[in-house]
Amino acid sequence: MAEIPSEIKAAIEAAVKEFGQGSALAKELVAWYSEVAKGNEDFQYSKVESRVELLLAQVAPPPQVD
Amino acid sequence: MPKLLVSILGWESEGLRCPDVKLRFLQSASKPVYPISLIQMPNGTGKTTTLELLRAAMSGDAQNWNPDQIQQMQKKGGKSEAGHFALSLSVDGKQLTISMTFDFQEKSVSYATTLPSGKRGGFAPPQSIVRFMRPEFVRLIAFDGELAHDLLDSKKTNAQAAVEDLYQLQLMREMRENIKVVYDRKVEDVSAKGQKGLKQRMNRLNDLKKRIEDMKHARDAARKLTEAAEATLKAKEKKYQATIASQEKTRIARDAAAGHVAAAKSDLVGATSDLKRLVRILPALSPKFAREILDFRTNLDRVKLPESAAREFFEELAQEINCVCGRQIDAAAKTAIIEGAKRYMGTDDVALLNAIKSDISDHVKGESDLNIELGKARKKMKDCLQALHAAQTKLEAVESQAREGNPDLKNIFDEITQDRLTFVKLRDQLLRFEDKNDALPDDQTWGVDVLERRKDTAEKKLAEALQVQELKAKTDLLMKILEKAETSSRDELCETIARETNARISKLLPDNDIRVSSIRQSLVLSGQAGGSAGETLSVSYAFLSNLFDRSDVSLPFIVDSPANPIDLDVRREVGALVPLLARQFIAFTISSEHPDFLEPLEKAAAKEDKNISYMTVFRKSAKKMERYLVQAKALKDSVETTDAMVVFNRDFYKGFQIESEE
Repeated sequence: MAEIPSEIKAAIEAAVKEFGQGSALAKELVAWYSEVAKGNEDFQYSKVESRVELLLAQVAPPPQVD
Repeated sequence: MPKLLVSILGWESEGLRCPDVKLRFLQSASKPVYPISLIQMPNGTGKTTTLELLRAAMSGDAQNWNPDQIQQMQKKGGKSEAGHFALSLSVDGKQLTISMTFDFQEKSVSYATTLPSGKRGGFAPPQSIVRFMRPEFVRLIAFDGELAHDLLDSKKTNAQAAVEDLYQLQLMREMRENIKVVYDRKVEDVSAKGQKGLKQRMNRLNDLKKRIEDMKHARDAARKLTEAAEATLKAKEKKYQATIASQEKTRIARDAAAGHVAAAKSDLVGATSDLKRLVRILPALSPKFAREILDFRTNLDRVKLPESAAREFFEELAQEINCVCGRQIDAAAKTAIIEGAKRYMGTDDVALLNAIKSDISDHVKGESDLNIELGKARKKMKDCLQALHAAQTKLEAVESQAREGNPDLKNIFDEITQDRLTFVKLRDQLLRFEDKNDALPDDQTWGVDVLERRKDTAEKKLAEALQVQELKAKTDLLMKILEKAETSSRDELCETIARETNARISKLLPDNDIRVSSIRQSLVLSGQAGGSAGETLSVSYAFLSNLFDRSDVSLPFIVDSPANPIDLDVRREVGALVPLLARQFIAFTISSEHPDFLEPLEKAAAKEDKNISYMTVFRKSAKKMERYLVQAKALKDSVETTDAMVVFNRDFYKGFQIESEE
């Protein structure tokens, strides 16, 4: 994929915003999706784990309701 | 990044229901494939079979064919026992050949895939295009009029799935699945994953903290009471001793008796120490052992171990020029001495054996000696115990006599006895708080250290559960975001493609209101369930061409009868559209499609600077082909095979008319 379609990028950014998260998370998600879509990266566990760590670092957990 | 280019270079078939042909679409060795290839095949030549084989080659679907389906591919007349079909593709400049070998006796078909790296068995397209090489998707790029209808029938096709496949929307699903795998691995060792587990851990920790606090309070209180009891006891004992001391006669008798007790205690300590020493000497405890260890020493002497000479002596001697006897030590003698030295013990071994022999001599005097000594030590300890008991009894008698004559003293003594009991009881209660027993439940455990350790563990487990809870919350959020993004992407893309499809439809059918309202399982038309053959075909072309246009991969487009059966004016539009549909367009045509299709197509192709390849394939055996056979044989750009003629000539293509198809 040359660049990911604008519709997909916009959808990711909108979903991130809808769930109250920051643009850094959207950026990480778009980056991961792009690399896999281009065939530059696969879903080998060690790579996935690194990606997930990056994503989790950007996620602000929702407030807990006791 | 440019699009990934996939082109059909050609195919060949042999021994199959369709004619034995070898078709190539390269313009020349240096030029790419023809943008447009028209393959004219009269009805009955094998167009449908060829299309089926092309789809099977691109999807691997023949692996799922039953024996009857395989048999259907056999050349008519049933003479061929084997058949072969090979499709050559170019994928990003690299050649890929997928071949199918049919065994009509076994009714089986096998695949082979040839890449630049070599040939391998099975259907194995490269990773870059594998997502397209599926039966459902291949039907879209090897297209026939039936599919045009199917695209508008939700039971037959899934237009939305085509959008998902082309734009790899399934990747978001795969990302979600993989995030879950990471989450599961991170929490697999933690048992408290849910809210219930977390609450349980919090409650336990709080209970432990309370228990520790209660125990500490109780311990402090017990300690104070014990110390007070001890102080009271000591004070009374002091008073008791002082009262005794104040009476001289009693004091003297008591001091003498106390002195005997002290002496008896000292003797007992000495006797205990001697006995302990002897008990450690095994020969003293076991006469049998003493006997055998002495025998061992005797045997060492008998075999003259250790030797007086050590191995090192000989090794050093071998380095000398002369031997101790005065003779010269040559090379042979040196070797012999070093070899011989191996039979002797090293210095360390000699020292060890000598030490063992010495210790046995010093400590093992003989069976009867040690045994007698042990017996004496035991008796001495027993005597000391008896002496101590007697001295203590005597002391008690002296004090008892003093108490009888002194009521105050008796009272103090009675109080001391009682206080001592109280003190011991309090001290035992205090000791509970140092109990190391870790086997009882929290509410029955008194040991403060034990409870503190449990509290530390509970704190760690709670932290773990809290971490897991946070991780779960974050993971759930990521999953929801991706799910939402996937749905939104699909909806947006379908909306955009529908809009663009309608723009193309309006060019194809300017006087027609037919429009796509949405793309779901099928293409959903606005205000109508279906349309005429021409409308259906135009809508499908418009949809597919848009779809492929937007993709990151440029795929060939194969169509069976692109202009049949549609109205002439629609044909003109379709003809003009063809050069724009794909980078490589291959059409199977019949002669009746030429009017109002070929000319607009050629005009539009010329405008786009796209060359057209014209091929005509017909069976030699067909009676109505006789004149064309003669014409074809006269042409240099024709190829004759076992059962067919293939002519690569525009004029021949245009002049080829089969009456039954008109």
